[in-house]
Amino acid sequence: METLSEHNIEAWFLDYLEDRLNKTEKVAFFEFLKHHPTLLKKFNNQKKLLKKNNTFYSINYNLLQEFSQGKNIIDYEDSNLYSALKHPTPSKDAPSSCTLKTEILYKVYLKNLEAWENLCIASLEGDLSPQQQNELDEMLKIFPWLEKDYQLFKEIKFAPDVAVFPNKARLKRKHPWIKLYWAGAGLAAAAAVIALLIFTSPPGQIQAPSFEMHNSSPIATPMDQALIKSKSKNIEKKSFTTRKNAEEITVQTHETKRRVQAITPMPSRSAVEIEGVITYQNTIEPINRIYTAIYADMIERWQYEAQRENKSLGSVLMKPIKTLLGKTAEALPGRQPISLWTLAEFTLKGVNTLTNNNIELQTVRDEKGQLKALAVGNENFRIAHLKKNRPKDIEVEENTIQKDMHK
Amino acid sequence: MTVSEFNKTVDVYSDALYRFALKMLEDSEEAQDVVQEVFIRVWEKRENIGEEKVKSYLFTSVHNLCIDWLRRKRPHQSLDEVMDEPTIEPQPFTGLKKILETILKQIPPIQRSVLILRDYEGYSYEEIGRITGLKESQVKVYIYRARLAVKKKIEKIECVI
Repeated sequence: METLSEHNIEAWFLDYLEDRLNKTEKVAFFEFLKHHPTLLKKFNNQKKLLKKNNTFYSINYNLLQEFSQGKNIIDYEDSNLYSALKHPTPSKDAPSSCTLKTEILYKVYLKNLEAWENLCIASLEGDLSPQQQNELDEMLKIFPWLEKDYQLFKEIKFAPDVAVFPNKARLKRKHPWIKLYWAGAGLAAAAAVIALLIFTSPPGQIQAPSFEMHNSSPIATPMDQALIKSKSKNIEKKSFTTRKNAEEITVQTHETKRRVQAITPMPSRSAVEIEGVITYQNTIEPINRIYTAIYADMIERWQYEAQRENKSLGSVLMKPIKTLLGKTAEALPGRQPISLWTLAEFTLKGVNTLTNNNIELQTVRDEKGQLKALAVGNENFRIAHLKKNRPKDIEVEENTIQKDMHK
Repeated sequence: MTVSEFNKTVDVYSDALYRFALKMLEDSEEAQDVVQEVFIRVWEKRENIGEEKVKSYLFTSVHNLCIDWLRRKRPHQSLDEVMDEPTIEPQPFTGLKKILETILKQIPPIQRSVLILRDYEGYSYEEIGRITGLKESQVKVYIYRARLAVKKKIEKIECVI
């Protein structure tokens, strides 16, 4: 309970009268009143008015005295105004000289308006007990002239309004993924890189990727190629030995060779009939070559920066992105913690929207749900690679390549 | 509180808050600003405000901001000062609702606040107490006083008419 003061004493009055104060509070209350005689007097009046008859319309005895012009009305002390009005004659035992006329009581009643008003308000607020409400209704029947006053109270109740907040959308918050979706070209461009990051080698052996035409089966998709490569190292070996520019390849590391295959653009193909045999030819549009070069250039630049700072490319790229997403990352659909993979998926959507493309991210997973292979691409370019979490395969592969190069 | 929960809160309470602020301030722009400010606060404190407390927090904040705004606007008036002298001037009859709204502007902010919450939003004494930081009995007293003040002003108008 808050500390007593002149500002909240009324609330304490009411609490006391409604018996909501505990012993300590009562002591504090009366102690306070002792030091404030004016308030004590006010309190006594209220107590007399509200508690004595436990009704809102008890008699104001001073007014009764005044309007009865000094007549003895002491017999009315224990009755309330309602009963007095209903039965204007005092009790049977009262002396005849104490007869009080109804009109005097009306005057008293009007003067004692506060009690009547409180009764009306309490009725409107639904604070009256059923019994009190019945008494009020009966009183209105007996004294119809009070009805007007009561109706006025009813009318001053404010009706609910229909005003609505204009443009609620400005109050709302967007989902973080929507922000991510429109994060801008920088974030969008990162999508392709992030997808690659999962599979690229650590910094230190970075070289510019070179491009050449892939001469595997024309119907094989990048994903197919990646899977075939994982199954058979012989196929892999053969694919290296059949390259046209073997001399150029020998000056690069095996790491580069693997990346070359990974980043090799997959051209669109058209069926051509040569000497009665239908075959496929690579027909790469110049613009598609430019797209591929731009992507490759971006990747290389980021890789270079990562290498210079002696950090992994992933951490370099993820740092600003995580800062950007920061607090909102938790609110991603499903409350998944943000990961490189989630980011790649979302940002690819960004790429598609901003570039009006339809780049797809395809994955192959093993029985345990682990990522096995990945492909990113659309009709203009394809990037596919196997996850290098099979040390034995890679070791064998690397040995084979090194032997080829020595030969 | 997640983004979805927050947006749902906006849908559910923004209109009621706006009406409350509008009745308190009688200024649409200010009322919108107050509501927006309150939702910004909720968003900033979303980690600490549960869904069950948000309603109370929203109305309390709007109430406090409105009271502050009114104090800034009319620094020389105390909360209970206004109701002593009725200041309604005779106007062409525009309907009881309009007259009531005019009268509502003239009663002390704290009484106006509890009356709006009671009549427009239909809150209980207890809820109003939580929102305004008053005790239930105080709320009751303020509502009674506000109604009496409105009635007296209406009676004066009737006399004039």
